[in-house]
Amino acid sequence: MLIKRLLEFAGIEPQRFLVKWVSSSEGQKFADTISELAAAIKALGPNRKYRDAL
Amino acid sequence: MKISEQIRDYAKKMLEEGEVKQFIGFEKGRLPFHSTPVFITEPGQVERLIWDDYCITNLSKYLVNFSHEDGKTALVVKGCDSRGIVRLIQDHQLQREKLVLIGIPCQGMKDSLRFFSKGDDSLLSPGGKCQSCTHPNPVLYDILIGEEVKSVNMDRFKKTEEIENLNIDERYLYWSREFARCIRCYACRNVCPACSCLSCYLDQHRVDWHGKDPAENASYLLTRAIHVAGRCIECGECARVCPTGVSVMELNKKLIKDINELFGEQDAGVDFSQTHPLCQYHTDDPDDFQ
Ligand code: SF4
Ligand code: SF4
Ligand code: SF4
Repeated sequence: MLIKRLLEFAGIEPQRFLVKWVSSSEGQKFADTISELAAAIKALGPNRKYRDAL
Repeated sequence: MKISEQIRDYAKKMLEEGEVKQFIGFEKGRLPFHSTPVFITEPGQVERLIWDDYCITNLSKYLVNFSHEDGKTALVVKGCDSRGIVRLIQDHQLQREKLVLIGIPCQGMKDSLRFFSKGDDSLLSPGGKCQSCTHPNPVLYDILIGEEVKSVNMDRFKKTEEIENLNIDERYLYWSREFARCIRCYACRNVCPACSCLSCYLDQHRVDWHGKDPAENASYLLTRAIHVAGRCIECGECARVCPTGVSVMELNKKLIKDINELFGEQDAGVDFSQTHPLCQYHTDDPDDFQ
């Protein structure tokens, strides 16, 4: 929670970061979570923030 | 009696009687408007000790260097030094019984570094770190010199809120300019009483582990802030010592503000009964992991 807020504070889209409880018996939930996250990130495009030499 | 004289008297007595092995205080610096930490081991040297408006340095971190030696150390503590010491004791870096603390309530110190680097007239008012100081009175001491003072604490989170209110691109622009100025001297880490690991992850020299490429400054500064989250005592030393004026403190303030909002108001390094806000679990903690 704190990291997400800190990244947002530093100008990174909060949708790029996710922490979620998924038990090892919840295969479908895991797959859905990752698909949703991947879709959200695809929509944003690759992150170049703080990647290219400043 | 002037505070300086009282400090000298205590130092002389403690060193002569062998109660302490060394006394840490301040002496007049080589430059005008500047006082610098001094380590006195001989009773004959106590005349060097002074107390004035420039004793801004937080002395607590020095103690880590002596924690494994025999004998006691005495030192003068303002609010921020004492909180640093509480923090270091809580982190098992110092032993209370090896310290003799001379507490001095603090009116706010002037920041000569700002004066020299920017010709800033803040010399006339308390330095940046003192303007939002919540605990100018020592929270831990054996002897107290002087009268307790009231906290000035003007707008502790004013700048944090200003940054929060920018839009996401403006925030990125702001921080990319801040991070770009970092020269990775690690002064902000070295001075910090919450950063007490003897071997820091940053000193691991494996190739590509954590480079000094300017683009990696962001990950350094954000990681450092997270490492001290919940333990930062808001002494402002990290920002004060930064040679390039990176607003390191705003990252700490953001984390403090969020911790207070999420887990209840608390101040690190104030009392020993307090537990680390990120190392405990309550059933009513906010939970957005599900
Ligand atoms: S931060 Fe507080 S205790 Fe420390 S020098 Fe400034 S006013 Fe004094
Ligand atoms: S992070 Fe900065 S303000 Fe916080 S304890 Fe360390 S030096 Fe002091
Ligand atoms: S003190 Fe300033 S320049 Fe040095 S490492 Fe810290 S932020 Fe970077």
